[in-house]
Amino acid sequence: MLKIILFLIPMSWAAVQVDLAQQKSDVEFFAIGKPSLLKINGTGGKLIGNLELEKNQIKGRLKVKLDEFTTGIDLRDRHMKEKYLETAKYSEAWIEIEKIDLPEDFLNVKKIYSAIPFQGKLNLHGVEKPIKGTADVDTSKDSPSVSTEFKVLVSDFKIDVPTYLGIKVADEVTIRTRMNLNLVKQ
Amino acid sequence: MIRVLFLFLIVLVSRVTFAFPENVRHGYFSCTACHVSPSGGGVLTPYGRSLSSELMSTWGTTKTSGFMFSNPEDESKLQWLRSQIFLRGVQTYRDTPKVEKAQFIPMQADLEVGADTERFAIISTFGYRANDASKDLKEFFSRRHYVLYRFTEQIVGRVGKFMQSFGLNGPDHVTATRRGLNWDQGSESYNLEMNYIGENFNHTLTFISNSPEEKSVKKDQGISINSSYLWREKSRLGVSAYQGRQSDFERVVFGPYVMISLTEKLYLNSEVFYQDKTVKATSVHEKGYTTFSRLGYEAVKGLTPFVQFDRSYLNDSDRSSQFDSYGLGVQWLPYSHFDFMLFAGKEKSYSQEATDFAWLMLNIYL
Repeated sequence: MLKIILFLIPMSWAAVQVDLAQQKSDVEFFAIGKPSLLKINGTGGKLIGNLELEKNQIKGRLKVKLDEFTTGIDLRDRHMKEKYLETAKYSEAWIEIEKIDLPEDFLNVKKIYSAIPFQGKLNLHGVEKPIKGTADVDTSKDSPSVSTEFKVLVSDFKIDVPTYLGIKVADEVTIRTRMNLNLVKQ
Repeated sequence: MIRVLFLFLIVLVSRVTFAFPENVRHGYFSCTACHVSPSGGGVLTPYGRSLSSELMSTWGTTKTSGFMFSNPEDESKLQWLRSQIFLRGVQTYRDTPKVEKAQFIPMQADLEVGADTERFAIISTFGYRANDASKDLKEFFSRRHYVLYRFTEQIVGRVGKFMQSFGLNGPDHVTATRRGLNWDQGSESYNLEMNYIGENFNHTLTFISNSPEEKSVKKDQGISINSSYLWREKSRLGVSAYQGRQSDFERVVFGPYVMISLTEKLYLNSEVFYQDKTVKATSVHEKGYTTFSRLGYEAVKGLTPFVQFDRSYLNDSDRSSQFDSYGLGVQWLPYSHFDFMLFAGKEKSYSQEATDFAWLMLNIYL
């Protein structure tokens, strides 16, 4: 009888904490230099922190070390870190994903959830600002992945507009993150 | 003495008259970050001079990349002034069953100078060229000169004497897709050009006219369109089309071209153009194609070995019009201002034995 009662009680959905230090992740940014519309792609950023996967949402507060970014040109990297991001003073940025709303039990359904709006915060250069973007959550593979994309204005973070020999970087910069979540490792 | 010094310099050092379209893999989809000319080549902007050191040369530094080794970051200089000296020559070697010949050919000794403001630019070259079989540079002339106006950040108009924008727009004027189509060095024409320079698309429309100062019959009159798309942020896919005439024929030329970044260091530049030419005197159609491909790998910064294949087959009813060229090369920019390219390969006309050739291109841009 006791066994029957226990069987009828629904299993509660426990939140999963994923430590990103043990996962593959990357952060990159895309900026445009004017007037020639040259594309600047900063890569190499890694996310550190915990991502919380709940029954119907994902959230987390993640850190990225700014010195990890490279843009393919040493002089440009030096200017970016020393003159604009001032990484000696502000070595990290924080991305907070407040909530990505997903269907119930999304982890148990093999599916790609695309362009889901999310809100959060970005702390960069000592300034914290709200962010809005979209997220893609892919549970179709054995290791789910979470990608986000959002745009920020450099001027919002009290960073001087990067300028060099007639080329000026546009104020709007796109930031993309990607996290592969190998839940077996947890 | 000056001539000897010039020849010495040109032998020692060396090529950046034209653009480096493969830089699209570093995010440079448009040429205008580095060159005043919207289609690339010619005088560099201060940013372009810095990039020639920081991105493209093995040991260069920005601090000596300016005019005559000055510092382009020096804000006390006139910010609108653009100036550059081009010295270029090639040492060739050819070994055929009939002849073995080595020759040094001075190709260019130009000063390009002008004013470039936010909206307006006026640029001209002054230099010398060969006008007889001696190949000595002794006739004073202007290779290109133009006035440019930037209507917006995306729309740029230009009028003057310059090479039309077509295909890869690469620096190598001896390829089948340039020399084979009579668009060799020295075929600059008077043009009216409009450019759209977008984030993901570039379009150029050029109205081409004969040069009033030239007597050559090899000058084009016509119209050309060059459009390209930035694919996956680091590659370019494009199409070019031309319709026009020279004194003894009319023709249509069109085809696709690609600059594909296979990896961060490995790239493929390739173009193929179909030509339909009508000889005026006989109304005979000559149809055929010409193609150029180069696969390059940047082994270390500034040093790029490559393999290359060229074919010209512009009259498909005459197999003897087929001409192939293929081989191995290496390009090295050891320091800003200096550019070397060595190429060794074989040339083969239809039904004939392949012959050996090599050349060493030497460029200085000061």
